[in-house]
Amino acid sequence: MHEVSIMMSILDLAIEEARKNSAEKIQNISLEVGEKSGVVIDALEFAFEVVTKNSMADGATLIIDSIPYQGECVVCGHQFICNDFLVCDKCGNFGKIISGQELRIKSIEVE
Amino acid sequence: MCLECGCSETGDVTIDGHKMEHHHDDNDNHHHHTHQTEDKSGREISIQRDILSKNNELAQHNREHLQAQKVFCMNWISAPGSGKTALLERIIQEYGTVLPISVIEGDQQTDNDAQRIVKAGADAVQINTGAACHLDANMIHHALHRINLQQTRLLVIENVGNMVCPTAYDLGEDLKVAIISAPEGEDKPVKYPDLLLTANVLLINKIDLIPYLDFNLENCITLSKKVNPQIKIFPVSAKTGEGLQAFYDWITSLSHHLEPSV
Repeated sequence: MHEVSIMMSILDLAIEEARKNSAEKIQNISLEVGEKSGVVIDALEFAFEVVTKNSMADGATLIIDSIPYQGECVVCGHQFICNDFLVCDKCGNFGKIISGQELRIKSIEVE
Repeated sequence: MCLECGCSETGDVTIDGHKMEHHHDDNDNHHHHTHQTEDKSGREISIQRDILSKNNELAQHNREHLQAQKVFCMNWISAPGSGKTALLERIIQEYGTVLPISVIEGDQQTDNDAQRIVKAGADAVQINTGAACHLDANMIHHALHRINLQQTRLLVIENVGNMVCPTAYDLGEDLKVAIISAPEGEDKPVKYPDLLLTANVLLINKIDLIPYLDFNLENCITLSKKVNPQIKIFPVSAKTGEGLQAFYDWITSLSHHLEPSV
C-alpha cells in the first residue's frame, strides 16, 4: 500500500539526476526490487503511471529486475532460495539473508 | 494519491494537531556519484541508489540525535488491535520509573492513543498521518522537536497499525519491535513474514487468552524462528503483566550503555 510513496521517492531521485545531467525527458527508469523488500511490483507499476503523469517522466517505461529471496546456511554455507523460511534446504539449519531486500534505482535513460 | 488505498505523502500530516511542513527534496547536498555512459540523446545515467535513501539519511540523523541525547528508541509495528497501546500503558506504569518513557503515537486520525499514554503517566506526541499508511523519518524528525528528550531515556514510536508498509521505513530506532496477539492466530508470523524479517524483537501479546483459543504458543515461536532465526521473542500479556519482566530486564541490559552516568 506504500507503493505510491515509494514511487514518489523514485521519481524524485530520477528527476534530480536527470536535471543534473541537463536532460529534458526521462525515457525509462530501471529498478532492482527484492522479493522481500515489502513492495508489490504490480502496485509499483500502477503507481508509476499515476505518479509520472505530467512530470518529465510522463510516458516513460518502468523496467524492474526482481531479485530472488536467497539465504546462506550459517552451518554448511549452502546457498538456497527461500520461500518464507530462512532454513537451509540441505541440512535444515538456519540461514542468513544474502539477497531479496533490495529496493534500488539502478539507472535512468534520458534525452 | 493512490486510487487503491488513498496513500499519499502530500496528504495533511499533523503533529499534535499542527500541520507538518513537508520536507523538500530540492537541496543538492547529498553526496553520491553518477556516471554518464553516453553523451547523446537516449543516454543512460547510472544511479545505483537506495530508493529510500532520503528517508534513510533522515533516519540516521534522528538516530544520531537520539544517541547524543542518550535516548534508547524502539519502533513498534503491528496490525491494528494487537494491544500496543495497552502494553504501553502497563509498561509506563511498571517500568517508567526505571527508564523514563516518552511515546510518539502514529494513527491516521484522533489523539485518543496519546491521551491514554499521558493518562498512564508518560509524555506523548501524536502524529496523524491522514491518508498515509506508515510513519516516515521526516515525521519523526518533526515529532522529536516536541519531546523533552532530556527527561526521556526510552522512546517508543507506536507506528500506524499495519503489518506491511511501516516495515520498509527506517525511523532512526535502535530496535524494531513486532507485536502480534494470540487471537490473530499462531500462523500470523508466516502470513506476514516481511515484518518478522525486519524486526529484532517479537512480542506475542494476549497470552492470557490462550486457554480460550486454538493457539499453540510453541508452534508460533517455532514458525517465527524459521522466518527470522535472529528474532528475540517475548510472550506477554498487557492484561495480567505476565512475561513483561523478562522484556524489561532485556531492555535494561541493552539500554545500559545509554545511561547518562556512563
